[in-house]
Amino acid sequence: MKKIFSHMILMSYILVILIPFVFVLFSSLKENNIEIVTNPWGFPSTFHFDNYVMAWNNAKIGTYFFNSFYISVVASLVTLGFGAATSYALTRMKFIKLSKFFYTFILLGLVIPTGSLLVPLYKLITDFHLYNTHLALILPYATFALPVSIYIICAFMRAIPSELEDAAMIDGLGAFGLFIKIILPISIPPLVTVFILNFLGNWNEFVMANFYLSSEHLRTLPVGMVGFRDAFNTNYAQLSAGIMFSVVPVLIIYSVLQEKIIEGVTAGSVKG
Amino acid sequence: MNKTLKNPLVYILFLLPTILLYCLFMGVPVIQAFYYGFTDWDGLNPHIFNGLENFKEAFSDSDFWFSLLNNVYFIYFSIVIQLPIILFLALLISQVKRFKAFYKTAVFIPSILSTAVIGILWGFIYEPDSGLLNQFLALFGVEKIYWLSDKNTAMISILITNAWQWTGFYIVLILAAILGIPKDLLEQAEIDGATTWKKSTQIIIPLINPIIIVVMLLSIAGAMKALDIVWVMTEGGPFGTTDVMATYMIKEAFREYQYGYGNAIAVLIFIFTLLITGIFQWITKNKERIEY
Amino acid sequence: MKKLLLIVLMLTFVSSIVLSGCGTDSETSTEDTPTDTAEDKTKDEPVILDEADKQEPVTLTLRHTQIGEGKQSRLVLLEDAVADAESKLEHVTFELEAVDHEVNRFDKLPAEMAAGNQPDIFDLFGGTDTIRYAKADRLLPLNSILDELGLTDQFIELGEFTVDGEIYGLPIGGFTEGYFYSKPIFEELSVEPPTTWAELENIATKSKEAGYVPFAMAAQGAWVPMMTMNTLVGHSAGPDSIQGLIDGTHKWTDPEIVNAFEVLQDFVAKDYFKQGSLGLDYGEQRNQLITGEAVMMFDGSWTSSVFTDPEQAGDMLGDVGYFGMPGVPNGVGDQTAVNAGFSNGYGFSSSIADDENKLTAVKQFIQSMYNEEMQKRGLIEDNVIPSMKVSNLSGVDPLMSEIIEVMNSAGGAFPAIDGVVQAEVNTILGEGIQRILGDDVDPLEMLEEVQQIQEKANQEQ
Repeated sequence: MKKIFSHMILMSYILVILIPFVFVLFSSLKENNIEIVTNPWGFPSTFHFDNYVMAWNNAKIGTYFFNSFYISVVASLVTLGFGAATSYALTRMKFIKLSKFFYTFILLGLVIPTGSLLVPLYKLITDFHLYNTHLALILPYATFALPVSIYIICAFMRAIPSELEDAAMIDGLGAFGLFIKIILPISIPPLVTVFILNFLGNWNEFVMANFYLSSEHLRTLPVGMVGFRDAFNTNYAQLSAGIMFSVVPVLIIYSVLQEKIIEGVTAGSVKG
Repeated sequence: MNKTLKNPLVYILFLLPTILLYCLFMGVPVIQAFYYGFTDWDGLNPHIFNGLENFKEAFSDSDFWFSLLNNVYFIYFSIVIQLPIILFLALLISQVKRFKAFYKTAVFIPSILSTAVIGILWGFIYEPDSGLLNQFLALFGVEKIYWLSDKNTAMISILITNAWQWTGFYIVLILAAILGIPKDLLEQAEIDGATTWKKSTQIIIPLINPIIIVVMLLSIAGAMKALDIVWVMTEGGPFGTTDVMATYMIKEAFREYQYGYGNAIAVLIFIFTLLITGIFQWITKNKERIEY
Repeated sequence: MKKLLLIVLMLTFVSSIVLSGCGTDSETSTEDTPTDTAEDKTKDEPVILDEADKQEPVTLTLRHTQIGEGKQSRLVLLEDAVADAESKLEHVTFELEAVDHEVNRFDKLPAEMAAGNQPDIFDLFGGTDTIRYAKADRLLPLNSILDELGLTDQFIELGEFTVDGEIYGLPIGGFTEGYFYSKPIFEELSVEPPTTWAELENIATKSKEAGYVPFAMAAQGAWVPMMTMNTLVGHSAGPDSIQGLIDGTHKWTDPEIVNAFEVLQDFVAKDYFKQGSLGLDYGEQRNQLITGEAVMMFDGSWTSSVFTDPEQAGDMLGDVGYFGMPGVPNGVGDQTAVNAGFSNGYGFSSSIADDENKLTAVKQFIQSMYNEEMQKRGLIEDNVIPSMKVSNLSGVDPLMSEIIEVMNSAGGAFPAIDGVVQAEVNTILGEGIQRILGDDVDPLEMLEEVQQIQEKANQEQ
């Protein structure tokens, strides 16, 4: 009995989460605003797939999608490469005092609310002539993700037994060899975690992308979607189709990688 | 030990890229925020040092205090209202056997979506004439509510959306902690005849206290940097009633050409965030904790 | 050896990031889309070889605000002008970027101007915006260019874009503001376009009784309700009052101005506006008229193109009329005066002066955009009042004729408030008007605060 009650509560919460998506899905297939208003809960009377065609053409979703993907991947890879190298130096190399200093220094970045940097960073981006280039996002994204990534990777690398390295050193491996051949392969789990965590963060970022980019062909998906809303906010059917375009791919990726994603996103905080 | 791991050149090479990026894109802006925070600067013409003027202005600027209050409202909502719901749902999920994985996967979905898209989606739900929420409430005879345009409901509407996005994320965090509790502890309680309620409040919650504190800390940090969701949903409107510090900073700097003042607000955001998280950590550290 | 290789790799990686941060704006922006550049090069190279033309390809960024269905015809005109300019200058490409009007005017352009990285050509408002940017040397002075192109005398009015005798922007058209109304509902209520305030109120009451929204409204952007307020102030306090606010001859707390705001408050109290308007974006205002929900709408003449486009106007095609706001009770000055001007157009970045190629391109753009044919097309296809002298005005649609008639019979004109007052005053005023709509403030109290900011801003000028 009690179990059924629990399931009822949980199911109603799941409904609260899923209904907006179903509503948007139905709306995206309806003829126009009138059908949405008069029949909000119902199934579309006929399927109007042309909303999708129009949304795709009007919103340039393909371009935005590619940009978001490209920026997120590159920024996450930079964070990953730099973060792993730094963590390796900090945890495995024998400069204990210096490492402690740098570690604390980098972790200071965790307490800086990045949103507040928007205005000062704007000037920096301009001074470096990065405004309206993808680097204006890639570099800040990569940087802002470094503290938490280094934190997670360090926690893992610190626990690697030094016997592994000793053996490899006897085989004649240098510091780089150790890093590439021994430490990195072992550290794949936290690296995947960090990559997913950062990828999602970058993929979803809006405000910086809104202010640091200007050209249409450079815009990211969140910025493009908000622009699309501003332009077509009276056409709910088309707007819904646009939302579906931006949501569905993420849901597909999530359904495949859900375990890894949940682990990745939560790891950043659980270990804190 | 071997020299391999003591080569300073290699050490520097491994650190340098990170330190470079970090100093350039975090260090410099922070310093610049402090620097320009002490100037009168419209962004266009040369800046003039004006000492503490901007900070004095901020402290007497009722709109700024109002925006800070909205950040506090964010914190209040997430800790007093959201957290109990999170705990309750996490406990429920931990106790069911069937569909456990499904629940966990489903509740997490909103956390992976872009805040901008969620803002658009919920704008749609709050739409007074055709939006889902009013249509639903109309079934119960509730009159039209102008969610995002009424000063009395706009902020709470944003908070609900924010909660919708992040509740699942925190549920999964807490759930992981609950499932990590050693089995024998719970079995012992069951043998002792503890009810589910008692088991939850007297054993599980004290045991997962550290993670609850982490969740609170994350909520506070999240509330202090709230920006995207407000910008996309209301841009601080109607008439500034939903402005948080960060949106107010952007408006002052970009729309009113008060770059100096905007930077001063950025500095105040750092300081308030450090203060609030610092105070919180100090309180929680001084409280006794049950270890397991 | 391996070590060395890695060090080199690492260094080039870092330096490539640092290096790509250098160079000019245009270089970095093309660098960023490697595929595009590659294509461009392969396209351009043969041209250069064939024609032995030594001119390097030039790309100019052009920021416009023609997005959404309502601005489709304006976008077509812009695209045609750009295509024309590109066809005359083979090596030049104009890269169009569309940004929402409010985002451009209030967020992006101010931020870019401050940083000095504005696009080459951009949508610009005359008045305070132009004055501010011109004084900071962000705008390209146009006097000599216009002389060279023989266009100086061709514009009807460039006052709003002129600062200390130098022209900094070119209006694409003129505007006026007044009431659009639904002819079928007027017929149903058996009323005529009002000529007195009492008649206007009467129509509003009747509309309300019949279950309609008397006045459409979408006030998420403060400038939308400010249009109504603008004309109320112009009528109540006289056509000169608005300029007087920054000269100090008028105050926001003058009884005539307070009176104007009380009219708005009275409308709110009587529920004349669309409910929940503070959450609605500008585009939804005209929709209230089109769907037959609202009876009247105060808006700018530019909106009229929507009502003559079968796609957008739907059943309301040809069923929308226009009248000027009637005089307000106890109003000062000519009560037929209208809010009108030539305040929206294109400006050019001051950095263009240093780049001969871009300067040539801008000159060509001006020629392609600002000529009698384009102005005529703007009038016919987009219902925009020409900003240049057009000899033949035939072929105008009936709604546009009504608008022009109201303008012609106007006994004077006053400017847009947001083009006159300083940015900080505009913000606080806009918020105040939204507060009145949200029934959150007493007008006099609000205006006292606005006056304080106004005085401070006047002093700083």
